[in-house]
Amino acid sequence: MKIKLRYLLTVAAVAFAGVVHAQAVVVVGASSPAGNMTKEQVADIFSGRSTEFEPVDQVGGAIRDEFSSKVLGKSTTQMKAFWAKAAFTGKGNPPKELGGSADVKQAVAANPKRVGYIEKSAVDGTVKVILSP
Amino acid sequence: MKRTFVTTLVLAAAIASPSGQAQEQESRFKLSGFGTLGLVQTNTDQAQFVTSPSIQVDGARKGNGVLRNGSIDSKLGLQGTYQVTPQLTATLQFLSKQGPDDDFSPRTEWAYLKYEAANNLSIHAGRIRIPAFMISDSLDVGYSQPWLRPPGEVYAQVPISTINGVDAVYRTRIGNAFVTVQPMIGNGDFKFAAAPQPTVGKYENVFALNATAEFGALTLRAGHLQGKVTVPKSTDGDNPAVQALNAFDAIAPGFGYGELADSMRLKNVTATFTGIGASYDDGSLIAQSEYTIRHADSYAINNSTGWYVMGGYRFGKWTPYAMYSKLTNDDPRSYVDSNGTAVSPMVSALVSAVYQSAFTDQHTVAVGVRYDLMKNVDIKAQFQRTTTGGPAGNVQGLFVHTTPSFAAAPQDVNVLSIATDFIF
Repeated sequence: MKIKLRYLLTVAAVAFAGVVHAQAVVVVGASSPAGNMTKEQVADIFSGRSTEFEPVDQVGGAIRDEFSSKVLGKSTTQMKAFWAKAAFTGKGNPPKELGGSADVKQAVAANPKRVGYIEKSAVDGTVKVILSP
Repeated sequence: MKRTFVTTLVLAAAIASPSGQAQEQESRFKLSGFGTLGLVQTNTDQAQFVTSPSIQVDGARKGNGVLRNGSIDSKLGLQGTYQVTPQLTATLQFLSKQGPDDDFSPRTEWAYLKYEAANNLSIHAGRIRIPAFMISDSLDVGYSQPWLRPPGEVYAQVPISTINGVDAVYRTRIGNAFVTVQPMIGNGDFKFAAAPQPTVGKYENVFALNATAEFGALTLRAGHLQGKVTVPKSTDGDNPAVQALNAFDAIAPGFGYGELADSMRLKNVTATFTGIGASYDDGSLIAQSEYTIRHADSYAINNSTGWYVMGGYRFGKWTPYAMYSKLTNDDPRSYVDSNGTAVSPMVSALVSAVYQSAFTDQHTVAVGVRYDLMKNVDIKAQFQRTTTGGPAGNVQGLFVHTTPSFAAAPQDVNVLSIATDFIF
């Protein structure tokens, strides 16, 4: 009985998490030469370690939280603290933040060097998915 | 009237949403800053607490006013960066904190150009920070650190923070590690606290190598720094060690101790600083440790070993931490000249007196807490007990203006500090 209850709670938690979290996918413009990337590659781009691509972030919300925790392995708050420190240690400035998936799509479609993340449901012909974490 | 109001609204809207061109211009220049307001109280008036005895002239002690005890940790930094081209950035940083002149006169900490030569290689040229420690770059940015201040047992060993030179930062992934390698060369001047007035020394032919490997939450670091240090002859007539050194300097060449005299006078003395460290931060658990060794080819700069272990845990906005740090000066059993031959007993006594007068042995147990008040403001409190050590009569640790009774034997000193750090 105890085990059953725990099972039910787990199922409920997973289902609840699915509702709360948007599903983020990492995208580039449809014409970008970039191929599939690993989590590490995307994390390097979004933490200023690699400058081969230009990261495009989102201002906040559930999608950013999911991207931060799943791909960067850090909370959005931790990433903000990371950039606050980076600014004073010469390690660079945070990525440009856009208002939502539509803006990100437009930005990556306009420049093949840009990498962003959007809701899976927002994917269309203007972008190419390079990582589904 | 109504029209004026509408016009105002339209104007305000126009100002509030500048054209893309203006925004692009605006984002190329960035002004930011950081600072700390702190207060230190100790339980003794027989010695004064400083962050580093080579940098601060006067320190905190029991019975001092708020202004003096508030000057130890307080500082303000201003930084401007300008993006010249996508690859080229100019950075200027001024820092004001209590320094060797015993005031808050601002100092240029950073003035460099950064060039992104390739995807994984950047070059800095100008005045840059020397990577002597794990957190050299952000040493003065209290907000970026879990503790109230870095432990002096390690961080007071190197009184110089910047260099005029050039470095290269190479970044690459090796397996699941993200590796950064940073070689650096340059020269510089450094002002240090001395009686009767601060003295400016030189460090030349500096070479530094700093390497880090990040494995997710774990970062490992190794660094080495070496250079030639030259310090002008001291004019401190009240200091018996200085008087003896000056007398020795005048007669030493005639007795074949010319090289020893030069090294004691700090003429072109090779000094090195080597350290390894590790830090861990998984979002909740934080831990950091460094082990460092200072060495100089002169008995006028003590060879020392400093290390610390720190651990803490984030409970939401509260981060309690504890730390142990220890600094030990190597006590040379015999004094030898540059040829390796033992010096005469009289010369040995002089060298020994100079060496022992600069002993900084001490260890500290500290507990503290950081509270994240706002997105860019924290409040910290730290209580520490520092125990001094070293040869009798020179038991001063990293304290300054110690009385003879304080320096006679090991002491416990309690230090309570509170501070608020901010960035903007």
